[in-house]
Amino acid sequence: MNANLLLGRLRTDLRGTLIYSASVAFFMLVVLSSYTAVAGSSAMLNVFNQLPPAFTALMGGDIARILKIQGYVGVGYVHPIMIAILAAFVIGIAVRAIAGEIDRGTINLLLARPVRRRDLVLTAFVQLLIGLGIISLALVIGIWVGLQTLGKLASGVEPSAVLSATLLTLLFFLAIGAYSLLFSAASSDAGRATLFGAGLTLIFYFLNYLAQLSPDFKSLGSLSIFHFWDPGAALIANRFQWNELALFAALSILLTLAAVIVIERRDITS
Amino acid sequence: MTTPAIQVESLTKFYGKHRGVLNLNFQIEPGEVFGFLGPNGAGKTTTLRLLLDFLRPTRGRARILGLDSRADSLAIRQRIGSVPGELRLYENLTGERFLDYMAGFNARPPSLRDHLLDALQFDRAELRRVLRHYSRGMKQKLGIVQAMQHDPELLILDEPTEGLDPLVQQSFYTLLREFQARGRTIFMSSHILSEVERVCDRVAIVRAGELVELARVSELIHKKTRVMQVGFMHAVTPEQLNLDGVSVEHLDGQHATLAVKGKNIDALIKRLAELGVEDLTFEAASLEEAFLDYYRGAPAADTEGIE
Repeated sequence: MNANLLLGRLRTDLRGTLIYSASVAFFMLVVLSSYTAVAGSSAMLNVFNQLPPAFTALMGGDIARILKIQGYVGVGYVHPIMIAILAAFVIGIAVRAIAGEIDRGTINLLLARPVRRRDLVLTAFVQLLIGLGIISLALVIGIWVGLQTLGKLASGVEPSAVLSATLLTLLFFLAIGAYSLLFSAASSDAGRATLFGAGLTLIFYFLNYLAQLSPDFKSLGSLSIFHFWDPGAALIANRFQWNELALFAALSILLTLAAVIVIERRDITS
Repeated sequence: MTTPAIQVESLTKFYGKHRGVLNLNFQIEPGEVFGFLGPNGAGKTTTLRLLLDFLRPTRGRARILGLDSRADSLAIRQRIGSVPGELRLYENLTGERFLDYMAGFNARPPSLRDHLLDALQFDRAELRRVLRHYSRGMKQKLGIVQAMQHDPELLILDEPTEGLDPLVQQSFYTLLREFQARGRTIFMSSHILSEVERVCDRVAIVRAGELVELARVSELIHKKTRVMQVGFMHAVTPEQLNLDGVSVEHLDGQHATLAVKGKNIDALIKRLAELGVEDLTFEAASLEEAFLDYYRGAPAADTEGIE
């Protein structure tokens, strides 16, 4: 990792990171503020049960869960808007780190300096970790403020459960960032790298979505990394999902190493 | 024995089936200003990118400052400065932040920054502006400053005066001479022949990825056949003009057109003086003519971009 490169990138992306953080916190606040309308309401449960699977799948599939505050917080994590914000953040960092530098032509300045090619990847990986850490903190703050506005309704959400769900989410999006980094390392075109990163994320998302729609498609779910990401379950069970955490961590590390191999072997042509 | 600043051996790069450069061999001594000449697409930038380890050679190798361009690339890049062709900067940084950022990668401090900014007539107030508001010329000046500010042992420059106005170009040439005077080496690709003629000691000419000439600039100029028109006081015979390096193209009594090649000018002038000269026209020696000799008969695309 290159400290000067990291500091430069953190400084350049600071405003963006803060905007993403504020968006995540605000979104979670909005989600939780609507909980009073559903809390413990059997009428709402009936309404939700009438909804088609195509709709309930967007909320994680298990309707009974969202009547509990822990499950409702979980909906905030897996809501398509939240996914879009976090995916845009990690794909953006990963693409700008390598394909973006090549595409803009600034790689010609950067790699004429004593900067290892692998530093481009490893620095981006650390930047992803730091950025996701900041966003996770904002997410937790958003949840905490949201729960405060709910008063007694919020009881039952343990800090350790929030920590567990947030850590799972951080590692999940780190894995998305890592495969985007691999596409970025392989490409000289920022647009193409973005297309691949976002495209694969969408494919994974819809595979998981289809798996929830019908038992016929259930086997498709295990092909998607979304299948292994269930922050709602972590919140309800109030325990760390070690297997999933290990899976996302291993994926992140392996994909980052693959990106290192790719960048070390290729020609840099801009 | 001094270590060559750059030593290139059988350097070859293919992009699939397309030839980038083929079997390049040359050596640059410390303290030299070396010009790398060729039109667009001849392989100049490919060579520079191979030296900087952006591209991996298909065959051959290069040593820079005595180190292997691939295995010791990081150590090499601590000791060199580079201005890339078609320079692109970090547009959202201010000039000052950009220079600090670039300097932060090197162990050497940016000790020459102030001197370079002064020499290139760069208004310091402009350093506080964001780069996307800079003109082409200002960006190029900053590109030169970032490459030279840490006083590198070797400068690798790809079309370094692109976008600079003529006055700043002169200042830049002076800076190159200062660098050279301190024992620094400069490897410069250019398609501006007057620039190369002015600042370079030696040149290599590449055509379609192959090295076609490697010589001192003065030698290259003298290799060129130049035309001399002479008006004599009296009629002369071809035998009277029979000298080494001189051939009579046309003789019409008192008027002769001579093709002159090489450095035998002194003997020719003395012979002409003996014969009595009434009028004389001798085309100036220029690198441009010498260079174009290598491209005569080549497809038009081969000379594209030459000035």
